[in-house]
Formats: sequence, structure tokens, C-alpha cells
Amino acid sequence: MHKQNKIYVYFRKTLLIHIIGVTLLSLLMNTVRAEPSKQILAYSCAACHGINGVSRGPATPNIAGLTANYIIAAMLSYKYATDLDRAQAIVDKHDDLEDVVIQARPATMMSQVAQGYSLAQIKAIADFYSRQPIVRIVQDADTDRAKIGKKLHKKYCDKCHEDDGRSTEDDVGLLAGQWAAFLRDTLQDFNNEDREMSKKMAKKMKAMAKKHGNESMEDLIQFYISQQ
Amino acid sequence: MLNRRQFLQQINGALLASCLGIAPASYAKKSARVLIIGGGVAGLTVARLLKQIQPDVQITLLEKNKNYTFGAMSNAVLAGISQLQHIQFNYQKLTAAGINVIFDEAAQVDKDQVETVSGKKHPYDLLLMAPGVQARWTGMEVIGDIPTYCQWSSGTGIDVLSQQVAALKNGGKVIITIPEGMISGPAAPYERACMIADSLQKNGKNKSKIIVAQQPAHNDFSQRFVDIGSKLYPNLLEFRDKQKLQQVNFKTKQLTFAQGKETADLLQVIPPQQAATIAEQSGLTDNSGWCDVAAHTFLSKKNDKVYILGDAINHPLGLRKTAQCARSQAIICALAMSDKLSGKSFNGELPPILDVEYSLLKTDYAISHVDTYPWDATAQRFIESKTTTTDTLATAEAARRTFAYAQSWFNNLSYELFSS
Repeated sequence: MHKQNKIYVYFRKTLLIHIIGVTLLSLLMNTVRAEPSKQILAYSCAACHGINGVSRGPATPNIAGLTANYIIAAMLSYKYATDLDRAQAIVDKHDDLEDVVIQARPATMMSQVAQGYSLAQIKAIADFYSRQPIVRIVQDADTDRAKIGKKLHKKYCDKCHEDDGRSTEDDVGLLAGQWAAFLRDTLQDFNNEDREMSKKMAKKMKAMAKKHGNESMEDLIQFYISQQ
Repeated sequence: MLNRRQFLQQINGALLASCLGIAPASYAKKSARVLIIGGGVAGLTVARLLKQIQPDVQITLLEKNKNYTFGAMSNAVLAGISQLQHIQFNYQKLTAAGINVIFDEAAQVDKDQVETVSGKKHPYDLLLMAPGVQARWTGMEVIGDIPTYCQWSSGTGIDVLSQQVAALKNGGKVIITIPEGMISGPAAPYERACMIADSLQKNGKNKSKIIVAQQPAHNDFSQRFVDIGSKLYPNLLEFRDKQKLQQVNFKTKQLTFAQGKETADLLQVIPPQQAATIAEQSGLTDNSGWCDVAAHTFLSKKNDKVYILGDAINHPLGLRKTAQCARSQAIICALAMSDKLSGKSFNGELPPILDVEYSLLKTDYAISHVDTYPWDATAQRFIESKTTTTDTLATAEAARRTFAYAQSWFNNLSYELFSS
């Protein structure tokens, strides 16, 4: 009986300490939610770009596994599409954005969408999607053209788009396993000079088109979508 | 029996969990019950997201239909661009995701429970209402049976309308009327006109006529459809504005406008609308027939345990009634509900509200209307949408891509809600 009483008293004391401690902690932590998680912010992109950035297609691209720099560059280029100098000024002002490359990007509605996000939100979204694993979309490919495309890729593209276009390292776009319609539109934009690119890439694209004709773009696309 | 240590561990765990917001402080004894009325885009987005944020919350969804037919993409069925089975879904995956789906209709909302038509009572700690709209056949005389597609409730009746469009003879006449006031899918009437025109054109019925008669005067929004529609279907489509509808006779297919009478082979009358019956019966609507809510929580102005979103509300920002806008609202509403369950107040950042409405006007030709409402963290409010035209692509190329993006949006959204 005596022993049980002691346990009871100990139990009460301990419980009281626990309650006081936890209540104090909760007063500190529990009252204000300062910002939505990265996951929640990224959720607004998923309506078009798919759950965790894996699109069900046929045209909105997969954004899972793109680098944070790539996504920030795209969003700022969209947001300040009519005034890219402003986007550049923002990038210049922040040390952590030194590798973000602002380039003109044609858009249908992404410029309007990008107006909705602050720089902090863009960074959070970029961080979230850069941590998602790359998923390659299974698509029917013309295997003969894919073979030609592979050779073209090795010769003209592989230096930057490493590992057969599978890698997004060094802030390049995802090619292997990306949606064909998106690759086609994007290559067309580069080719028409609607979308800005590095001098190096422009040179390579011109060289390829000169030697292999414009239809060689489709060979490349068939190679990229042939990969799992 | 638990020993002392186990007991303390449990108490501690529960308190700590509540403190971290894992389990709600005010509902620490048992997991909180959230009841959702309406299994459309708004209701399902909140159900799925809230389950992700707070897995312990018990979520019950009350939905009257076993199948959902999307309003979005339903017009494409008329032109054979999509099929009925691609826009119809069931709720099986919701159950697998841990959401309790009950096929029943809410009849009465009390302060802590909802009674259904079948007499069942569902208690709740928080209630979310996403019941959509109902037709308000007032201000005009209606004769005969109202076809399902004229009730304008998501994609309901699109199969019937599709058959009637297919049965139109060459030289047939269709009239689409648009009322004054807010409607679900503001661009949908114009999209419907174009998709019917596409079907007629594909089938060589070029002597036919579709008249779009709207009561409001044309503005920038409707003028865009007039301009493009007249270009895509020069002889098939005719647009009229300031047409006040006085009488609808579904028996004789005759419409009486203030300007005179019109008879057609097919009538698509779009009724004036208001929040669904259950919202009205629960005293959540105002004189206009819509529900007033707080701008960034979607908490009803009339009941502080009830959240309302989607087509049923009259939002201070004048948000339009579209599927994408409902999804966007739902993210913000889920955060607000989660805060309430955790006993947290909010003072920080929110994602923007994104309203994107795609309109398919022809195969490989679509346009979009985008409104973006960024969150101003300093002022703690959403900022009015500013339209910036930044299209650098030629119109036809932008329209071709937008058509593919519209399909991509639909594929991703419908998969997320019903198939994942």
C-alpha cells in the first residue's frame, strides 16, 4: 500500500512537471504558423506539373529533379518577362543566386502565373522540386531515329547534357524521359531564337542543323523519349 | 494494464504531439472530425491535402452521387475531342487514401452535426461546405421539363446534350443563353458554342446556326470569344448581347426575349445561379444567394465552424467560379482548417490564388484566362490580380500549345483528385 502511494505521488509530480514543461513549450511554438511548408507551396504547381513534379502529360513538363538554380531562373525569367533587366538585378543582388542564369523564355501563361510568387516562395518551391527524384516517362519512340539521335546527342549535346541527357547537373533541363511535346516545343523555340540560349549551345545547334538538317531535331527527341 | 512509465510516455507523447501541431490541442482526447459536404474539386482537394498535413484527422466526405462528371473538359465531349469515360470518375481511391466517403445528401446542418436525407447524423468539429451551385429559375417563365444539361451542374447531362448535337440536321439551329450575374465556368458557354460548332463543321452541317445570346453587354472577356469564335466559325456562330430572356418553353423550343421570339432545334439555356440548396437552407447565404467568406481563411461570415469554398461563395476578391480556382482556394482553406485544429493563429506567408480557365475552341486551338492573386505578407492580404500580356508566341502557336496544356492540366488534376 505504502509503496503504491509513493508511486502515486511520484507519478503526480512527474506528470505535473511534464504538463508545465509541455505547456510552456507549446506557448512558444504552438501559437503562430509563420509560413506554409515547401510541400504546400509546391502543391499549387502540381495541378499542371503533376504530383511531386511528375507530369501525366502530354505537354506540361516534368519538373521533378530539376536543379534549384534552373527552376529559379525559369520562374524569374517568366515573372519579369517584360523586363528581364529587373530579374537580372535581383539575381545580382543575392549571393546565393549567382549561378542563376536569366534568359528570355517564351510563355503562354507561365508569366501570369509567376506573378503570384515572391522570391522567397520561388526559392522554396525550387528547393522542393530539386529534391524530388527524376521520373522518366514511358513513351513510344521510333527506335531507328533514336539510334541516329543518340549519335547526334554524343556529338553536339552530351558535353553539357551529360549522361545521354539523363542528368540535370550543372542546371540544365531534363531531356531523357521528358514529355515529347514539351521537348519539341522547346527545341522549336531555341531554333526560332524565341528562347535565349548560351553562345555555346547556339553554335552547336546551328552546326547540327547545317550538317544534318532541321529534321535531326526529331531524331534527338526520339532518342530522349526512348530512355527509361 | 500500462505501467507508470508507459502511461507517462503516452501522456507526454500526446502533449508533445499536440504542441508540435501533429495532433490538435483542442481535440487532443480523440482525433478531430472534419466533415466535408461536396465531392467536387474543392472538397476533394481539401480532403486530400488536410489528410497529408494532419494524418490523424478523421475526414468524412458526404457526396450524393457515386460518380463525378467534370464540368471542365466536358464540352470537348461534344466535339469528340474527349469522351465521357475520360471525364467521369468514382471515389474508390479516396477511400484507399483514408477518407471516409459516404454517398448521401446533407439535409440539415446543425452546430455540431449534419443530418442527411437518409436520416443519418454525422458529428463534426469542423465543417467544410463545397456544395457548388444550383440553378435559380427566377425572373423568367419556364414551360416544360428542364433538360439536365440546362441545370448547369458540372458535367451533368453532357451525354444527353452530346446525342442531341449529333442528331442536329444540316440547317439546324441552336440557341445558347447566358444570364446576368456570376455563373459556374464563366467561359464555358462560349466554349460550348465553339465545341458544338466544331462538331457541326466536322460533320459537314455548315448550313446550321448557333446563336449565343447573352444578357450582359459585351466586355473584354466575352469580346475575346466573339472575335476568335467569329474567325474560327464565320458562318456558324452568331453573338448577341443585351438579350433579356423572359420566357423559356422547352416543349416548343421557343425563347422569348425582350427583343422578340426565337425558335430553335436545341436550347442550351444557362440559368441564373446561386449557392447550392444546402448552403441556403443552413443560413449561410446572403441576399444575393451566395456565401460570404473571410478572404484568406474561407471561414463563413455567418458561422465560425463552417468553411465554404469553390463555386458557392462570393469572395471579396471577386474570384471566378472555375475548377482551378477552387483547387487553389482549397490549398489555402486546408491550411486555415489545419491551423484551427492545431489551435494556431496565422501570421505569415500564403501561396497565391491561381485561377486558370482554359477554353477549347477547336482541335489544337485553345485560349486561357489567368488571374493571379499574390499574397502580401506585410499587409496580410491577397493583392488584386493584374493582367499582364506577355505572349511572345504567335497567336496560332500559343493556341496550339494552350490546347495541349489544357489537356495536361486536366490529366494531372483529375489524376491527383480521383486516381492517386
